[in-house]
Amino acid sequence: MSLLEVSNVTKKFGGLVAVSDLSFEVNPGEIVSIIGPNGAGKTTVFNMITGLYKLDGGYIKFDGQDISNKKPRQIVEAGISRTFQNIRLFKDMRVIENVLVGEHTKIQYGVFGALLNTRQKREREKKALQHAIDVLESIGLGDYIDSYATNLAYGLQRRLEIARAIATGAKLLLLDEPAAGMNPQESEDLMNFIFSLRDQGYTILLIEHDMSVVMRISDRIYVMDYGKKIASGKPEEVANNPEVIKAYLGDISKFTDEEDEADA
Amino acid sequence: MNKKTDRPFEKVKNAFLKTELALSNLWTKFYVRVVVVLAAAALIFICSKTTSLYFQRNLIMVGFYLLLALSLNFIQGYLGHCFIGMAGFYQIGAYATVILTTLHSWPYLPAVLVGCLVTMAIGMLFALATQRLSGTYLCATTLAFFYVELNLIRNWESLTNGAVGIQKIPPANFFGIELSMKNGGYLYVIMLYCLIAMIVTRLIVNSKVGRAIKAVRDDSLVSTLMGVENTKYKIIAYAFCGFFAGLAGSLYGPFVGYLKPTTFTYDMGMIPFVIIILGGIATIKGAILGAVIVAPLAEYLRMLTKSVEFDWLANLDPEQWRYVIYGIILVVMMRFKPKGLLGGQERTPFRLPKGVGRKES
Repeated sequence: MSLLEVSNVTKKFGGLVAVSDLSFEVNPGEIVSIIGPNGAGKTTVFNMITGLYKLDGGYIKFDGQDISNKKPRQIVEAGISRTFQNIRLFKDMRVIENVLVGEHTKIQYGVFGALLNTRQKREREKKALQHAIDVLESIGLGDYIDSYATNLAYGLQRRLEIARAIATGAKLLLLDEPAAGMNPQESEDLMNFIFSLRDQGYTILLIEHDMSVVMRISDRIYVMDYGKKIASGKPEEVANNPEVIKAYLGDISKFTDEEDEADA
Repeated sequence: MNKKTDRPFEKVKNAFLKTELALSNLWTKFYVRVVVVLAAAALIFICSKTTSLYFQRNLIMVGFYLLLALSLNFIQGYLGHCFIGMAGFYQIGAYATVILTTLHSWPYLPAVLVGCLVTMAIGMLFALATQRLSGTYLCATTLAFFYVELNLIRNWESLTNGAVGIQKIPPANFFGIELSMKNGGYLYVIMLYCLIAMIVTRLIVNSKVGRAIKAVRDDSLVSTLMGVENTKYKIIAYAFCGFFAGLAGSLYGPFVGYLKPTTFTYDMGMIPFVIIILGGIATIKGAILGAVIVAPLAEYLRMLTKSVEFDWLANLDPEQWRYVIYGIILVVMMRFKPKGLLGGQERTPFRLPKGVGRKES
């Protein structure tokens, strides 16, 4: 059974149909990419999955449970977490605090627990702290616990975003353009890192523009254009799909025809 | 920029940073804190016994503004909302308590509790009503809140005596002891309130609640996606701010003995704002430093005008001129150190409880 099932979802902004009748699925342990030109509706899909946007049609199921139009909190608790296209960390907080905010829904005590500093609060806080440190260690940020998020290097900030997403206890990570702004070496590291996440049991759905990354990392690829799915399949299938080439480069057949004629 | 002129400034800055780091490293030790708190308590006790009432009065005003600054910190510092209607909460707390003790002859302490809770409730309602606002609009609304509240108090004569105000407020009675300037009671109580506010701030900020509030400040969209209910934590921050501002107000009424709507001015609400901008946003130490510098500014000016021989300086009215200085402080801080003298990133390591840490590998 698929872990995430997106079925015939539609999102309209006034007269603009941002996503229309889109269906796809992600199986446990897979790395699936969504690609497409700018404005194709990829991030809108992420926003619908994470509960920021209401669906105008269709449904989304996660782990067999309907999560369409649920509140972001319920979706986080169900086990989906995401990162952002332009890094969005809690800048004026420390690295470990960023991760602890990720654990927010899992830490069970309230204002009065905090005020009275109850034993239960201290125990749970300790557990959360230890978990945060473990997550940071596993992701290679163990040395930066005390740093402030804004002081980290770019690649590390990306990692911290992922660490924060993992700390929520998510099973499915949605990564929105994780390789954006990275040099080849950094994207290489990132890819190995994503593979290691998959090996740890996370399922990954990512949006990415860097084709060298997408083609090597993905188990399957979905291609969107103008809010519709235009192709799907294994990387090599997608790469040779004329529809996809058309969406990215324009209608090539026209040019090649003209060239043929010129040659003749 | 010319390097020569920069150098002395750099030197001062480095010395300041070094001292700050050394002091904050010291402060991480528990016994240092105990010693400092005891020393402060002893100093306050000595001041109440030996110094003039005039000096003591200034110390008490530092206490009031420190408490207001600490409560404003919940909104301004940790939640990151620009809140300039602080005098509103202060006034509500003062009026609520004084109406009960003076017009309805309640005993003092229950009236304080009700006063604080009323202010807290109004703070929470305000947060609920403004949950969708942000930035400049929110800031303007907080100002509007103050003026609406001021005019309500001025015109709701059956409840507040209107523009005449409330006179002959009985002195605060704290567990059977009547507070006065002579027995130092007001000084002790306001300092006790400040201590409570500091402890509560620490407990909240270093908990899940404080982290959620700070997350809403830093990025409210991401905090939503991490499962933080933004509105809930906004309301919590406003509740704490309202509670402590109400606490300050509840002591202010009996302290001055006479309340009228004009007792609380917009400028009064700006003082805590200036305090935390100068001292350091979202820190307790910053609020203390700021309060000591800003609250008795008129007195410092008075001392200056008396000691200096220039005629034009001697003719200045410190009560009026301090507002010019508040303005200058705000502009200078925003330009050179927007997070305040002691604000911004802490350089001491994050405090981990015992038994938590990195595994030795």
